[in-house]
Formats: sequence, C-alpha cells, structure tokens
Amino acid sequence: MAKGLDVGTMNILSAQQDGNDTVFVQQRNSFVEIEYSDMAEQMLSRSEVLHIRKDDKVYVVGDDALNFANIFNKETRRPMKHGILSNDEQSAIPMMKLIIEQVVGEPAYPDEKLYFSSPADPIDSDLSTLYHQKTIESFLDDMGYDSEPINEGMSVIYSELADNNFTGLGISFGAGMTNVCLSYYAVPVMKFSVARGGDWVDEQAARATGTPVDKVTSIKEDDFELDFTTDVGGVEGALSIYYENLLDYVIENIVTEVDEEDVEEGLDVPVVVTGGTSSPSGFEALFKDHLEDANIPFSISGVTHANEPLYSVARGGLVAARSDEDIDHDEADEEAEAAAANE
Amino acid sequence: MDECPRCGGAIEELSLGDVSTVTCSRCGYADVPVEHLPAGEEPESWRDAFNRFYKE
Ligand SMILES: Nc1ncnc2c1ncn2[C@@H]1O[C@H](COP(=O)(O)OP(=O)(O)OP(=O)(O)O)[C@@H](O)[C@H]1O
Ligand SMILES: [Mg+2]
Ligand SMILES: [Zn+2]
Repeated sequence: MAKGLDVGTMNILSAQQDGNDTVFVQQRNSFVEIEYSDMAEQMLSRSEVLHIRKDDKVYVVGDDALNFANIFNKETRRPMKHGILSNDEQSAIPMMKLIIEQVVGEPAYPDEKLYFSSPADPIDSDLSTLYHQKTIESFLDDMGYDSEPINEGMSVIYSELADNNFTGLGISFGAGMTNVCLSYYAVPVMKFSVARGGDWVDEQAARATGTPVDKVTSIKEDDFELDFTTDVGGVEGALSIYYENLLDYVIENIVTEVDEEDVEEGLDVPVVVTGGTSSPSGFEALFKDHLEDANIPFSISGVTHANEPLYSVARGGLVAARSDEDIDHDEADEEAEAAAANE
Repeated sequence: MDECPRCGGAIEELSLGDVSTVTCSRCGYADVPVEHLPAGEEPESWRDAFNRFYKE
C-alpha cells in the first residue's frame, strides 16, 4: 500500500495504488461562508454538497466553494496562502485537518507510509515553511500514518522522470507558489520556490481590470488559452500579460539559483513542467520559447509537459512512499490469508 | 470535551462528511500532538528481526 499526498494552496490530493491503477482523491482547498437563511436546504442536500453547519452559518467546502461564491457573491476563504498555512485565516487548522482526513482516509494498517508534499523555502519572501510542515505531519501521524515530507519539486521528478533515472529539472507551477528542483539520480542538488503562481496571476489580473478575483479564477480555468500574441483588454488580456510575466520571473530565478557546479559536465538536463497553472493550452510552447531565450547555465535536452498536471505531485509522493516501505504489505496480507485458510 | 484544556475557552466541534475535528476559537487548540523527540534510529520490530533472521 502506502500513499502520496499533495498538500497544495488550491488542491489537496491523495494517490494510492489499486492493482495497476493509481487512484486519486481530490478536493479544492477552499471554502465559503454563507448565511443559512440565504441557502435553500435543497441546494445542500440534493447535490451532496460538502459542507459544515455551524449555528446560523454554512461553510461550503471544496470543489463547490467556488460555484457557491460566484452564486452568492461571496469571497472564497483559503486555509493556505503562498504554499503554506495561511496566517490570516482563523479556521485554517481545523479546515485543513478536515479536508486532509476526507481526502486521505484512514491508514490501511498502522504506520502506513505516507509522503506529503512540502514546498521549499521561498527565495523572494521571508516565509518559513517549517510551521506548516510540522503541523501537517502532526495531523497525519495523529491519524496513524508514518508520514514523511517530500519536496514538491522532487515529487515531480519521482512522478515524471523515472525513465530518466530521476535526473532532471522539475517545475511545479501551483497556485500559491512555483517550486523548482534539480535532481541527480534521485538526489536533490538544488531546490527553491518563489511565492508566485496562479493566485498571483489572478490577483494581478483582478486588480488591473477591477474584476472580483473568484471571477477571474473561473474565467482562467474555464477556457483561457495562451498564445504568442493576444489582444489587450478584458480579463483574458490581463491574464496573458501576467502569465508571461510569471514565466519570465521563474526562469530568471532559475538562472540565478543554478550554479554551473550543480550540473555534471556534459549532462543534458531534461526539464518537466507541471502543476495546475501549466494547464492552459499554449503554456508549454510559451515556456519553451522563453526558456530558449534565457541564459540557462546548463544544456537542456528537452522540455516536457506532464500529462496530468494536477496529479503529478501526489503521484510522485506515492512513488517515493512505495519505494520506502520496509515490508511488502501485499505479500504480508497474502501470507496472513494463506495462514488463516490453513487453520 | 466542551472546555478547552489549554485555555478553558469553548470548544467547537466541526464535521465534514464522515470526519470531524475539534477547535478552540480562542487559542487554536486542535487536539493534535506535535512530536519533539529526536528522529534517531527506530528500534527494530520483532517482525523485522525475524525476517532478518530467516533471510540470513
Ligand atoms: N485549466 C486551468 N487553466 C488555468 N489554470 C488552472 C487550470 N486548472 C487549475 N488552474 C490553476 O492552477 C492552480 C492550482 O494548481 P495546483 O493544484 O497545481 O496548485 P497547488 O498545488 O494547490 O498550489 P501550490 O503548489 O502553490 O501550493 C490554481 O491557480 C488554479 O487556478
Ligand atoms: Mg502544488
Ligand atoms: Zn483554547
């Protein structure tokens, strides 16, 4: 067994193996507070909306939060900001605990291995990731897991670069952050994050156009495309401009952070990009183009885009957890069954 | 539990689907312990010891 967990600013996902398939459970890390009186009871019950009732208030949690926020003209609240527990959300801890438990479920056996993603300390802000990491680890251990943090960028390498001996540069374009990790034979030689990602793009585009930020997020996730040339004006126009700015910002920081000594001479480094923010069509092409233009201090063998950008980090955690299990529990289970059958 | 063991404030219980948690809105108590022991070597379990014995 063993599990992987992606603890993200916008999405919390678990991954586990079921035969030859990897099964993911996902929930949006967001909620919205609505007056109970405003809310038709049937809206909650009929559609199986995940929610918490508290006195005369209802918290709609997860994927439905964004829809309800748009319908009721409310703002979504987020337990995490910039990759870590938010310091300005009072309910951050209980909300995170509930969403994580809901997504990951109970351990299959005591001390089941679980690797959860944790960001690298950001180089462009003085946020520390330690409090966040320890808190999440405590939730999981309290549930009965044997949990272990894994750097988010490293998790991308476990997920996407197994065929390349876990060697390459992994970049996760998330909501609150962008995480970058350079790995050489499964050993991270350089890792960092910047406190910018999809949320930053949304906030900038919202401010520039005077549009509510949840509206901008919906437009971006619905049918927004990136291209080499776009028209000015409107939310889409603003989104393209800040998207390009985010790409350049990340690439600039890779140039300054990677030393030539970090990369073995003569090694051609594969680059893999993933994360929800890498989803729009045109992203990969735009990223490649800007990367070619930059002064990267090593040679790149190619850029690939993960097939399922929202799932990479959870899958990488699962790969790491499975390779770290002390005993093969499937085998142990079979032995126990066989023994029981013989009795 | 209706009184917070840390500050004596009121404890709230929240539940989401099948899972639930408690929280103190005054001090943030969540009834989750944080481990501060050194990581160190874990003692070998009996099962591991037997496995090792049979492999050798
Ligand atoms: N189809 C889409 N088009 C554009 N953006 C998208 C799309 N789907 C999701 N996103 C954006 O991707 C981001 C979420 O991605 P992801 O789940 O990888 O981040 P996260 O892991 O929650 O955050 P972080 O890693 O920063 O903590 C959000 O900003 C979201 O708006
Ligand atoms: Mg992420
Ligand atoms: Zn208290």
